[in-house]
Amino acid sequence: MDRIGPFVYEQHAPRLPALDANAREAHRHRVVIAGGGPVGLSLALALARWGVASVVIEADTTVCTGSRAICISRRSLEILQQLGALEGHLEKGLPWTGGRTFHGADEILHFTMPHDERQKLPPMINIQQYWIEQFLVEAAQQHADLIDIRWGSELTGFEQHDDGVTLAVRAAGTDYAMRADWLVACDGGQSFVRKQMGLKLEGTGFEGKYVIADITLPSPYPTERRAWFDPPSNPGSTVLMHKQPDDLWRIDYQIPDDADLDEALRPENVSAFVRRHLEMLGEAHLPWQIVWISAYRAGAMTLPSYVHGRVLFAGNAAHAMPIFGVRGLNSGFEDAFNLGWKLACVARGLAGETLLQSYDSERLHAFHVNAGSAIKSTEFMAPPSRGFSLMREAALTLAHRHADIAQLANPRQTTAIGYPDSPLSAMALDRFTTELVVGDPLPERPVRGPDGITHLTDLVGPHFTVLVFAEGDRDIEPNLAEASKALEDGALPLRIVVVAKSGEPQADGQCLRVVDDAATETGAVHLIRPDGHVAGQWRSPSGATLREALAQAAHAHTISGEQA
Amino acid sequence: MTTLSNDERDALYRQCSLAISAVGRERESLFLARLALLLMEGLGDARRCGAAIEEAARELPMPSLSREGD
Repeated sequence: MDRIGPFVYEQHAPRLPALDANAREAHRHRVVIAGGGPVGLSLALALARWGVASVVIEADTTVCTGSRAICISRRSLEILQQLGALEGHLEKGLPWTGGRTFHGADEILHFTMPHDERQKLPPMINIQQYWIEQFLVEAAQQHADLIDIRWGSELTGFEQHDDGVTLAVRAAGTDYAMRADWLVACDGGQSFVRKQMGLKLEGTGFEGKYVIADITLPSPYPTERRAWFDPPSNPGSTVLMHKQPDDLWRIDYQIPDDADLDEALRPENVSAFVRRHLEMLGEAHLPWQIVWISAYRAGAMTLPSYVHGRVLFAGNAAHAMPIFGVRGLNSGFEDAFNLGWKLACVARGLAGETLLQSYDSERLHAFHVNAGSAIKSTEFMAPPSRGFSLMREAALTLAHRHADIAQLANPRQTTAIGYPDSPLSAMALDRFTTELVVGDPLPERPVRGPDGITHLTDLVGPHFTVLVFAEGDRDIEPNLAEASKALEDGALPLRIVVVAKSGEPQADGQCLRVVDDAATETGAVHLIRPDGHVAGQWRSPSGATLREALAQAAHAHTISGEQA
Repeated sequence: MTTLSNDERDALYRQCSLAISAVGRERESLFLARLALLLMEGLGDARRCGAAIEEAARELPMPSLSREGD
């Protein structure tokens, strides 16, 4: 495929590194990432912002074909902003805030996702995965000194040692060996690395079979998620429809458990189904065409651990999610962003290797939260047994007159997941009434900076942040100021930001923003991790408390910055 | 917790019996499932709903005298 609509596939020639007489690359790499999909590219970008170089091994010579993942959550957009890839996504993507569910010919639910005027980003955008990958590739090209994408290169084997991994790679017909301190498997649902290590995903599989079709359709209908149960056009079926940029539409529909999948996937059968559906919508007269057909079976499965010595797993290589609620790629972005700063700190010697265990525990926790929601959605969308079918019919037939029962049809779209039991969170904490919750990512809130309105999530960067809510811009306690200053001069990058209720934003940038929102509790001091999660909150903490919390959040043995 | 009087219970028992007969075997299950959903919302007490579901499933006779096909 050369192009699809306005998207042109750029081909990248396979390239060989300089090799010695034994076909071995002399340079030993810090991190090799298997797989140049969105998760692998995000991880490379997350490492690069910490100055850590990586090599991405990608078998294809261009980004993915087919539109694959299409719904990108607000939390993923926050991550893409941090990775320097937000702009293209916002320009190209279609923002949306809710959707409609129909039973027969009746609309039974109009749901909305959390959204208000304090938000900088929409709760969700729709965009084809090839655009996502292209924007990430372009962002990576801005860091050509740190990110080496090896296109057309296949990982054919590897061997783990105590302090690293030796890899066998084939590119342009040549086999060569390379060495790395770390290998991260971001090589997707069919992960070669996972299979090579004899590891298996564990969890719940579902019987429901879905056909996924992308069609071109110049429909003016707005961007929202629409779901039909038992529609008049295809009785007994369940159909989902999403708008994508460039007049592309995603249609997913369930086929009966006993139906032959190969038969259902034949283009003439998909066409007939889609035509009946479009006739129901009054859009069959529009020039439409099928561009991509695929099949899907639901499953919520994970590796029991994502950390195996010097080999780590992220994204679909680590876990599989049912499509309902769009937790697949979105959890992959969160994996990459969680792992990025930790692996970078370990690689740079800023943190102990045990920091990576928190990647394992936090993202496994996220998997189980995600799986719980996704399984609820899947049980409704694709009932796994007679009981679920019967109760769904009962709910759907009551929903149009009972708003509470209609909530059973809510798709439970992905939301940011906190880490309430994170080993990185400080032990001794004060409780606050603010929306900043230890373990959660920062909530969004506009603040005024020297250059106008900005947002709390903009304060995150490749550093820890001490976030202080104060009454006035001069009201930060001298003790705290002194302790923070000392930490700021330490090895771990740290910034202090005071958000004051009154006073003027100061041009020294990092240090003062005035918040318009009265909901913040003055005197609250927070430690924010580089991925934006809150690691601790106190009233007037001592310097020792802050130092301890920082050491725990980074699994650092010592925090320089003095005064033990 | 409010309780039904004996007269009320008798009347509801009868009303439910008549409704099951009226909807017919083909829609009996769906009718009862809808009734369960509405009663759960009406009760608004997750613990008591859960306990009722468990109680209803406890010591279910096998086979049921009301089984299909007789």
